[in-house]
Amino acid sequence: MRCHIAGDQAARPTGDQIKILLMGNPNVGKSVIFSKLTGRQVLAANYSGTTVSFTRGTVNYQEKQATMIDVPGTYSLSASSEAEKVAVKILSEGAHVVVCVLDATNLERNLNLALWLKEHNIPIVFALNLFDVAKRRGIEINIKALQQELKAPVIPTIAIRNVGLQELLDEAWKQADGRFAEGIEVKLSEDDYWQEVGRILKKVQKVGHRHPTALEKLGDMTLQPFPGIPIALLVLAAALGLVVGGGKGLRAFILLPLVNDLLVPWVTAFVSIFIPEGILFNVLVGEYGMLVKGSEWPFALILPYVFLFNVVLSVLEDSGFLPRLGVLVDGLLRRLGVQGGNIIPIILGYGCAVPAVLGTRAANSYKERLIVTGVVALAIPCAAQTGAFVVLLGDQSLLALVFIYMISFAAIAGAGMVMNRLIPGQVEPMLLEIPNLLRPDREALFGKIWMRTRHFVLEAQIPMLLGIGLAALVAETGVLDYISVYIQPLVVNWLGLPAEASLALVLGIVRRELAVLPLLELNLSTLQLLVGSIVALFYLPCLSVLAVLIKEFGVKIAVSLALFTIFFAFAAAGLFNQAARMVMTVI
Amino acid sequence: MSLCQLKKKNRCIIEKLPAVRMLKALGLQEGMCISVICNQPWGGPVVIEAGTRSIALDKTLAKQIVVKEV
Ligand SMILES: Nc1nc2c(ncn2[C@@H]2O[C@H](COP(=O)(O)OP(=O)(O)O)[C@@H](O)[C@H]2O)c(=O)[nH]1
Ligand SMILES: [Mg+2]
Repeated sequence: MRCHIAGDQAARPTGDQIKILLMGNPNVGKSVIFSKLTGRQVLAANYSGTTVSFTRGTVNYQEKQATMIDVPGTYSLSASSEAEKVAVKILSEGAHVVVCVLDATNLERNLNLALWLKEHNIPIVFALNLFDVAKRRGIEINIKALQQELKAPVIPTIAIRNVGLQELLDEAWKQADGRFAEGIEVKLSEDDYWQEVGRILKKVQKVGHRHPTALEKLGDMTLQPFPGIPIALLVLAAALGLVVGGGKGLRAFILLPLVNDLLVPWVTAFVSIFIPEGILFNVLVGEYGMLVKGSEWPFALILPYVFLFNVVLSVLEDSGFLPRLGVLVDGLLRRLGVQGGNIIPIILGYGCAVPAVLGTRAANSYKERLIVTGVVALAIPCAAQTGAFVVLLGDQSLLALVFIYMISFAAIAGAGMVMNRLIPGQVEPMLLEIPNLLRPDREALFGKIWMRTRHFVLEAQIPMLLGIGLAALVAETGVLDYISVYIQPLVVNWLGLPAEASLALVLGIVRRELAVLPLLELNLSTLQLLVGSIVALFYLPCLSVLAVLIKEFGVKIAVSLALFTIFFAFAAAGLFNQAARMVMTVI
Repeated sequence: MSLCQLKKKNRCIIEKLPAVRMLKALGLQEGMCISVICNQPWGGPVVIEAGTRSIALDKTLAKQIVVKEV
C-alpha cells in the first residue's frame, strides 16, 4: 500500500492528469467513496477522525486517469486542528475540481463548509451522501432547489451501495474540464455562513414528522448511562465470548485438524524428497521444525482469534457504537489522564498496537497520545497474544486466563494514573458529534475483515517463520544451553522458570505471541504458566510496534518505553513468583 | 443559567457561547434551541440534542454556555 502521510509534497498532476479533491465534514462517507472510485481500500469507520493523514489514488474514467485525494474531514477550514491544517495545505496546492461530500441526514452543519468552499471559487461538485439513511428518517431534500442555491451540481449518493457514484464522477469530470485552480488560498476569516445556511435549509429541506426508527431509539438508549452502561457491558461480554469461545471452536474443530492432518504430513513428505534426515531436516520439519510449528502456530493457534477479533472490531466500528462507548466511559478514562474518545485506540490495541498508536493521532493532546500509547505498549495484549494466552492457559484453567486479564486491567489503570501525574499537559475537554447508529453494510464489513485478516497473515508469517526457525536451530544445536548459563539467575532463580523458557524471551522480541507460545511445550506448573504469562504480557512491544513508535514519537521515547516494558515485565513477574512461593511454603 | 444546570429532557435556547471555534463548527449558534439528553456520571460529558444530531460536551464547556429555559 502506498500511503502518503501529512506533509508529503502532493505532486503536481503530470500532463493532462486531472486532480480531484474529496472533501467534507468528518464521517460523511468520503473514504467509502474514495475506495469505490479508486479501487484502493482505505479504512472507513463510523466515527470521526479515521483519516487524519491523506491518501491518494487513481481514478480511471473513459480511458483517462485522474488523481484523487481523500482529504481528512473538516468542519471548517480555520486550520485549528491537525486535520484542518492538512486540508488547507492540500487546497493550497491546487486542484481541478473538489468533490464535496455532504451528509444528507445533517445538511445544516454540512452546508457551512459547502458555502465556504463555494466562496473560494473552486470548481465543485456536491455528493449528497447517506441518502438512504435520510430517507428512512423522513428527511426530504429538494435536489433542484439545492442545486440552484449552491450553483453547482448536486448528486444524491449511497456510497456503500455504489449508488450515484458514476454520475458523480461524470459531473466531476465536466467541472474539471480544462481549468486547474492553482494554489487555492484559504482566507482565514472568522465568518461563517450560518444565516445563509438557515435560509437555504428552509428552501430545500422538509423533515417529516414520524416515529423514530428502531435504530434511532437504540442509538438514544446507548447514550444514556442507563440502559447504556448495561448495554455496553453486554456488548463487550458478547464480543469477548465470541472471540475466546468461537476461536477455540475454530481452532479445535477446523484449523488444527486441517493443519496437523493435512498440511504438515504433506509438507514433511515433500521436504523428505529433497533433504536427508539430519539437522537441516529437523530444523525444517522435525518435531519443532520451522515448517511444522510455522504452520501450526500462526494458522491453527493464532489465526482464529485474530480473525474473530477483526469481525467484532469491524462490526463495532461500522455501527457507530464506539463513540457512544467513548461518551459513557469519559468520566472513567479521565482518571487515567485521557478523554473518553481514546477508548477507540485502546480497543484497536486489543487487535494490534500498530493501528492503535496511529489512531492516537486523532487524540487531541500530546499528553493523551503518550498515555494511550504507553498503556497499549505495556499492558494491552494484541489479538495474536490473546490467542496464545487462550491456548496456553484456557485449556488448563480458565481462572488463570481471567487472572492475567485482571492483571492487565490493573496495569492499565495504574500506568494511566502514574503517567497522568508525571506527564505535563492537560486533558482536552470532550467535544464530539455522535454519529448515527447504522446497520453495518455487509459488503463493506466483509471487505474490512478480509483486509485486516490478510494483513495479519502477510505481516505475521515471515517474522513468525524466521523466529521459529531460529528457535529450532537453537534447540537443535544446543546453543540454548550455552546462553542459559548467563540468564540462569534471572529466568531460573528469579522467575522460577525452566532455562528453556529463555527461548520465549528471545522470540518475544520478534512478535508478542512468540513470547507465549514456546511455553506450550515445557510442561509448566500453573504458577510457572502464570509467571511466564505475566512476563509476556508486559514484555517488549514487537518489532513492528517499535518501528511505529520510533516513527511517531522519535527514537528516545520509543527506546525508553521498550526498556521500561522489559524492566517492568521482569520486576512484576518476579515479584509475583517470589510472593507466591513464599505463600506456598508458609501454607 | 448555564447549560450544566439544565435538567435532563428540558429544552433551552442558547444565549451565549464561549469563544471555542469547534462549538460553532459543530453547528451550535446563539439563539438555537437545544435539549439535554443526559448527564454522564463521574464528571463525564453532557449530551445535548441540537437539530438532528447529538453532541457530547465536556462539563467545563457546558458550564460556559449560557442558556435560557423554554
Ligand atoms: N447507510 C449508509 N452508510 C454509509 C454511506 N456512506 C458511508 N456510510 C458509512 O458511514 C461511515 C463513515 O464513512 P467514512 O467513509 O469512514 O467517512 P469519512 O470520515 O468521511 O471518510 C462508515 O461506517 C460507512 O460505512 C451511505 O451512503 N449509506
Ligand atoms: Mg475517512
